[in-house]
Amino acid sequence: MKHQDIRKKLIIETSIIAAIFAVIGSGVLYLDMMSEERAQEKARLETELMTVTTERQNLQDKFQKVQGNPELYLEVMEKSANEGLAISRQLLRQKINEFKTRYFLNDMKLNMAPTQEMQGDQYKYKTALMNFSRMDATFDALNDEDIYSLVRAFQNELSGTLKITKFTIQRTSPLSDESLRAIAKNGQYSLVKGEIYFTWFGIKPTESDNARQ
Amino acid sequence: MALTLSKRKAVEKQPKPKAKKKPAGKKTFRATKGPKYVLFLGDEGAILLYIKGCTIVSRQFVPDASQQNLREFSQTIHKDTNAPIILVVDSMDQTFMQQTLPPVSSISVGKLIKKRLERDFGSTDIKGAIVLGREKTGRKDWNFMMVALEKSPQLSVWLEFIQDLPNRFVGIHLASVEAELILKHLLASMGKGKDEVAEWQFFVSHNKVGGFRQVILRNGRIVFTRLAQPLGESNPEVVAGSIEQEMLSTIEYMKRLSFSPQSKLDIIIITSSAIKSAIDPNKFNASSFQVMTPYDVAQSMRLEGAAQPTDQFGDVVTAAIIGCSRKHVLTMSTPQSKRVDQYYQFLLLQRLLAVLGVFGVIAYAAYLGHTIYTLNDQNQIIVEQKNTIANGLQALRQEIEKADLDVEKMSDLIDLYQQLQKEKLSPLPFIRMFEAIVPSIVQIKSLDWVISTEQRISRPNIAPLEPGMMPDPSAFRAEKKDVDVMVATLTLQFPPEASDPQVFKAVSRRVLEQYQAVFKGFEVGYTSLPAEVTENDRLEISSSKPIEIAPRSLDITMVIKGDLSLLDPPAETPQATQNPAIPQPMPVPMEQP
Repeated sequence: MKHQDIRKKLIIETSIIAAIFAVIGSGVLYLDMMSEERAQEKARLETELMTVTTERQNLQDKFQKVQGNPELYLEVMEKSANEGLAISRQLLRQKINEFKTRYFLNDMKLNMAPTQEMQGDQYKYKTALMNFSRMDATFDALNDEDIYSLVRAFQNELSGTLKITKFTIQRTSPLSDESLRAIAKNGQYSLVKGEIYFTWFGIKPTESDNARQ
Repeated sequence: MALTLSKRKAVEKQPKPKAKKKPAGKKTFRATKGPKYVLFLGDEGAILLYIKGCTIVSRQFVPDASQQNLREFSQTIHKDTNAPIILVVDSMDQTFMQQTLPPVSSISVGKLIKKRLERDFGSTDIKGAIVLGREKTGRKDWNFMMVALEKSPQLSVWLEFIQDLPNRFVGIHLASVEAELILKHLLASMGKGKDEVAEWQFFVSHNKVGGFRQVILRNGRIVFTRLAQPLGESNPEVVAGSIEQEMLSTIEYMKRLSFSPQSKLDIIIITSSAIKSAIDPNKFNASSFQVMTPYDVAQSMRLEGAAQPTDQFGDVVTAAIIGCSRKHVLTMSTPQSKRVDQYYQFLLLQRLLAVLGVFGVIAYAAYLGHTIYTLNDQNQIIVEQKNTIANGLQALRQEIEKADLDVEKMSDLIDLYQQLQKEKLSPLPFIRMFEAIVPSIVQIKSLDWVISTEQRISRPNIAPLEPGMMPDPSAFRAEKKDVDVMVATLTLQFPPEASDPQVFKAVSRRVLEQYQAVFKGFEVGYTSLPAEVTENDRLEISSSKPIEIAPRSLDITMVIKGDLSLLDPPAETPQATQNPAIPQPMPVPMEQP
């Protein structure tokens, strides 16, 4: 056999093998693409399943939460409807005036910082978030009992929740004939003064919730 | 080659005691599969065999390489162009040179041999070498035998003839060199083990195309070979005498190669039955003497059609054994055949890779098919699950819609509202606890209640383990935690009746003890005492700060400090304050009117 003959044979066989591989390879490529497509479809379906499952679970949990705490639900509903979770300077001014009369306060000053949103995911929900404002108040009163009542009223009647961080009361002058006369004449006299520092916490709807509504 | 013929003597046939000794140890000659052509070339002609497995299908003899003879062969060979051609040469034009090489590595020895072959032989010679092994003592030199086949005009004609054929040319084997194989196969087929073989072996084959081929082996390796021309005499006794004479001459020459009469020698002769009976084994001092006809050899090797009982020459069986053997001692090639062989090896490799590749691709395709099938099933299951859950979700939404609830918003509000409640903190529970036990004679002059956040390391909570249980390593981990720490500073005013130091001391100590009992876990102590109480009468204090001595006063400063979570007052809720059933805290009188 001449080497030209076997070389020719080699080339022919190589061509045939290449053709066979091209045909089989095309089939395999098609199968590979199909397999890839199915795998992607599976991934997509799994994601959808996960989404639907999570959505259903979340909705069910929330529904059960609402159904399982009817009293809390009503309380929140009531406060939410009557702006019991928000605060405004006007409302605060109105309340201060009311407290001054109710608890025989000679003087009462309240400072309020602008409200800020709480930082952290645990305070931010889809429809609402927690906000806060630092406040402090100074006051004069006849009796410490009035001050305690004032503190209680702060916590019960102001919207939201108060975290009192500092509370000071001090007797400014002893009870004397002069002071009794002043009380009898004016109805007001400063025997006890105090100050209170607290953080007000409230809830406000998110922008997305506002847009939703 | 000159021969001296001795007079023939009638000799009795020697029995073959070892022939039937170990029939169980006989090994069958395993021939290569597939068809093949073997061209046996000699100085006196050529024989072409067509072999399929162990069967010799056809055999043709031509006396020379004339055009007509070549055409005849060509016609035969063209019948099966897929069968490879093996050339076996048994001519005079062979050169053998035993050489030694220094003890280099087995990898390098090949290169050295090649260089030596190129140096010692002509470029047109067909050459090769047989590595005979290394010396067992001394420097352990390499022993090898260089073999060259002169490219005579006659051989060139045959080689050109072979190269013009469409069949693959495998290579050239020398009958003399391959005698190692022939003897090995013959002895194996006769059931002779390696231990039963003598150190020296003498193989003689009476061939038609060559003559008397004599090969001397030592320890199974070729050391010497001779070819004696045929006599042109048909008288068996004359031929037998000629063979004997040639053999005796050869044995005489062997003495130069350290052969001694005491050395063990096996002799195997392949010749016709007539000559076989005329050969006298007694002339040779051999440990075993075996004369076989070509038919005997063919029967022993199970080569069908290789010989008839009347065959006189060993050419066909010799060529058949060499052609059918799976291994060869030496395969030589021409540059052209080497090139063709390289292509052929590449072709084989390509075929092998193609087969492997096709199998691999098919296996991968099967794997992909299985994957697609599995994924289809899995996707179907996921779709069903998704539909079920989506239906459940739809039903839940309908239920929520029916209940007219904004679940999303209400859930968020509830969660946030619960967090709001946790933030609620007031000094009133502390004041209520404090005022509940304050003696009526003591007045609170001032109160400073401050909350600060401190980071504390919580102690690991390790529950007692049951026997055999391993403790959870996470239970030993201490965690940092933010704690609300309360510091309440109160100024208590004692009445003038308590101005006597002894009385003051007794009362203040009792007050302190009461508060320490109520505020368990808190630091409770005085930080400021009236001037009447000297340093020696110091009461318990809560800090290391120096005590301030208040001038002419019965005021005493008390500090209560501790973790606010330890405070356990009764719950204070808006409802509780409005509920008359719950007792209201008694106000601490700041001033007795």
